[in-house]
Amino acid sequence: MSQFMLFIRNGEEPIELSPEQIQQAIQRFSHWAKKLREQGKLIAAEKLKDNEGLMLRSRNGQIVVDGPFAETKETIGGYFVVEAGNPDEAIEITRECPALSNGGVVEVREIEG
Amino acid sequence: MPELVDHLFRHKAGQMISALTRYFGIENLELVEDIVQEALLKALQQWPYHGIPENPGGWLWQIAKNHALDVLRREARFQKRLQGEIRLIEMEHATTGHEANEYPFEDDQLSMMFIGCHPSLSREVQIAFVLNTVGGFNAAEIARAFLTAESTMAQRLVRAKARLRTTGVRFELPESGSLTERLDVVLDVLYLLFNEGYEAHTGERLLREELCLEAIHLCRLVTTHPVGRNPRTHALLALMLLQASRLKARIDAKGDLILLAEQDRSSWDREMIHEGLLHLGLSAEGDTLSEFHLQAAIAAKHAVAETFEQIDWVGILNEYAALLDVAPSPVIKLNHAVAIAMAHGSQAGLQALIKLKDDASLKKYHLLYATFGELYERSGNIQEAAASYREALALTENQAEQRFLQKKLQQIEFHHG
Repeated sequence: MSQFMLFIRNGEEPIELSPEQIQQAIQRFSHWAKKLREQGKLIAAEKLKDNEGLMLRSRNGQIVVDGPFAETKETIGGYFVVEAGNPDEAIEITRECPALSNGGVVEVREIEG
Repeated sequence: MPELVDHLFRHKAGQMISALTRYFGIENLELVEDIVQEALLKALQQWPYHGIPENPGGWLWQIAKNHALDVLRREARFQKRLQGEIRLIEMEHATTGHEANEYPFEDDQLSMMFIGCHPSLSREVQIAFVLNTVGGFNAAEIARAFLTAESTMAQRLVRAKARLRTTGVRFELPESGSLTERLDVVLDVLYLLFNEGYEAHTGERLLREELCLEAIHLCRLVTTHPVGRNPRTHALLALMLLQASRLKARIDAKGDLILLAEQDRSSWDREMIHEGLLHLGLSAEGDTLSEFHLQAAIAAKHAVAETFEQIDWVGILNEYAALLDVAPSPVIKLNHAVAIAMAHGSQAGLQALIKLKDDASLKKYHLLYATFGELYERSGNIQEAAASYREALALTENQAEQRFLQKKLQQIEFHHG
């Protein structure tokens, strides 16, 4: 068994969702997570605070700090850690991730252990 | 982990928009809508990771309320506008000390319904506005239910909001002098909303059912409030519940219509019938006898009959006769003729029906011809029956009704070829 990290990136500006559609999107997440939890595959889920990221890099021997970035597009909104037998299974799990139907982008990375 | 109650977000949006409008004023409705939308989106950003909270509705209200208080605080501080400060104090006072779900949203929702039913707006705008602000449907959803372009519906709502802003209506329940009149408009709007959903024209079936259920939801809200609770409100709620109990039974898996005689009565919603009869009882207090009362009484006679054969047609005929005195509309006349046929036979029904042929408002009404077809068929006049069904077919655009009429025609041709 390996662990995989699913980075959830907010996609382009979200379409105007109605209250009913927002609820349905939440319910899709809830069912997806429930299924994974019942199978013992959901290890962790955390949301990152919005618009608070800083980028630090060394430039000519100086540490430069950039940010925070107001642009929410393409930033990581949160992550899930799931357990899967192999990368294919991890992709199957990710394929069903509801973030994809809300315009989000999900990056799957195997945790080297 | 808690599950979300059906339509929680929609209902909560309606509650929160109404409640916040009390403090921001109708002139700031768009700002209020943004605050509420942001609270709902915040849930979408957090709950996927943290799970649904124990009290989801309370969570949403807490977020929206805090955001609203921030906005009012900013307004009070920077613009030094007294108005903002007064509202801030009012809102802080009114909303603290309540457990999250105990805030009395009903008052504000009812006030919002009265605003939406303001006489300066047309009926169709009133319906759309109430659905939008109190019902929590967005413009796209309302447009889909009413088969209107989304942009048209959005413009209609924007114009309604602008109109209300300029008329300077106050967010409050009507004075007792004008209350009855204003309440009648609210009930009319709810009745039309229900019919819009119930009369299967075209459009998405599920969405239309939802309109019926929303009309019931809002009417129930009116009956629970001292300002709205009166015999007529109870009668309307009874009527809607008794009719809606058959929503699921009247359409089959393919979306085809099932006639009353062929419906599976065990699939009628017993709880709705029960609640409907309860409100019919409550509507009898006092000496009001409205159109809603008579229609509810007819719906009740249908609902309590255990088989089609047990329907009390003579009783129903009497109710229709009374209804003709109160509200002699062409559709009531048509239903009256049907009741005559059921109580006294097809020939008597046909005689009543023929008198309606010259009624201008029924000339293009497909159900008149469908009824002719049915009664001619029963009395053995197959040629007239087929001609009537064809005429009905030409007049309806509803696909389920078209399929139904085509099936009728095929059956006639098969049996009498």
